[in-house]
Amino acid sequence: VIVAHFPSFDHVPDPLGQASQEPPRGLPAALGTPPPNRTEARRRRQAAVLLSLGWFASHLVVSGVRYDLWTLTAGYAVSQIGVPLVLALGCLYVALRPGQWGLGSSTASVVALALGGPLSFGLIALTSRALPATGADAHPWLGVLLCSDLMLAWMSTPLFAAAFALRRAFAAGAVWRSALVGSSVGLASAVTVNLHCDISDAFHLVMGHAVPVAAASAFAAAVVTRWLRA
Amino acid sequence: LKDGTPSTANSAIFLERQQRRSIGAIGMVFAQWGVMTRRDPAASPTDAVGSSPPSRVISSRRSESGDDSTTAASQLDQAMNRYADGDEGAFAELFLGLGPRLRGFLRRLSGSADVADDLLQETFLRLHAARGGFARGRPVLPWAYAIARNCYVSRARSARVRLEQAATGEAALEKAAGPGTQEQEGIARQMAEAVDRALQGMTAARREAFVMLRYEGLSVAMAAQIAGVSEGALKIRAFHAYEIIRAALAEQAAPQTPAPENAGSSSNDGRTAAYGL
Repeated sequence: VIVAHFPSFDHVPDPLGQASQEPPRGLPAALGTPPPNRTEARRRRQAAVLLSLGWFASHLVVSGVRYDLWTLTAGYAVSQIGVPLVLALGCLYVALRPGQWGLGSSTASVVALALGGPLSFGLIALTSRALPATGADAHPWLGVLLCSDLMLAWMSTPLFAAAFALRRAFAAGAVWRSALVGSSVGLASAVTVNLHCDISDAFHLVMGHAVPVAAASAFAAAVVTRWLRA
Repeated sequence: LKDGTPSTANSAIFLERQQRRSIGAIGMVFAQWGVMTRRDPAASPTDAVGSSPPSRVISSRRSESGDDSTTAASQLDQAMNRYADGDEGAFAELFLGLGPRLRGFLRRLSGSADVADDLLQETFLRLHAARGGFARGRPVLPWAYAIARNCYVSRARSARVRLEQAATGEAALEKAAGPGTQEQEGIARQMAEAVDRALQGMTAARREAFVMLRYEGLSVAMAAQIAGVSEGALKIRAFHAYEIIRAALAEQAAPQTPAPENAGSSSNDGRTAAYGL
């Protein structure tokens, strides 16, 4: 009812009135070392993206691509590589989109994607079937910890690059937009680890691949946002 | 930041804190600014610019004419675009155009002119540092409001400030006397004081929602974006703030009006009885 019949507040008096229109004191005499302008900020962002891609690629090359990459079923490849890749790009696009007023996309869409991105990847992993070639894993937690450690390590540099390149970039909705950046980095890391790891059972995918994505999102929302908030 | 402390002293504390944070040369610029204003408080903003006065002077008052305000906003947007592209001279223009409005916004949120002055300095410091992230072709006002709100929220969240407020209470605001008879002025002043007390007594989230909609004239969608919440959530916050203010106004008006014949009617001379609330 409140939302549908929202009242006008024009009859409420203004305690400050004209006092609020007084000019502020003084002006800086001159500007010191200039902060990055728009061109430089754009270059930093491009450099951060290139650095992150190079970081993931180099680790994939060093760690090695999974032996069964070319024999993966289409469904598995789409759900574990294609979907997280699209989600990562989508998260980054929505996080950086200026929106109508330069304050980013609408809060509802940002929140929905920040929560839905990692969650949908986890749900897809939870419902995925193990590939026929996968044998029984004698030490499931060992594989989970190994992949979690790999993902967290791989995410660190891109998150640091994002914190540097996007410093003070979010004037509004900084927490959720930072979470989107973290989700994007986490999902890109998940794509990389899915190109490396040949364990395909649901438990491993959820605990070893999806949980670190959520962790990256939460870490970005809690910590990285301090640098990204304008 | 206690009551009665001169604003220049507050500025000095703020500037020292900024210097300790080693923000860099821009912090020193603001330090010079503080020294300059302490030396000559009566100096006009344009005088303080020194050798780089703004190319255009933008009226600090919101214009009565829609065209004028649109033109001023457009000039500010262009100035911000130039500043984001690296034109340092556009800062003075931005300061003159945005300063009064942001200061009023911060004064309403904080309830203190001294705190608002400190927050305004921090707002422009952040605006300066974040200029590379300003999106081309977008209006500067919502962006600046969002940064000012961030400054206020940062301050409001600090435990020190909460303790300070609990111990001393916020300073009373200066009240603007409008034209009219002494009796009308007195009533208006009392009403304004009641609104002020109600505003300062409510939660920061409700206060900012109401201030943005009622006093800053922002649209619901824009205010919601600035606050980082959905439009529905912002409306509910503003509505709750309005309910508090309505109750305060009714309480204020009650002793001044004769006892109503009809017990069910409102005693607030119709100002708040509208809208079926």
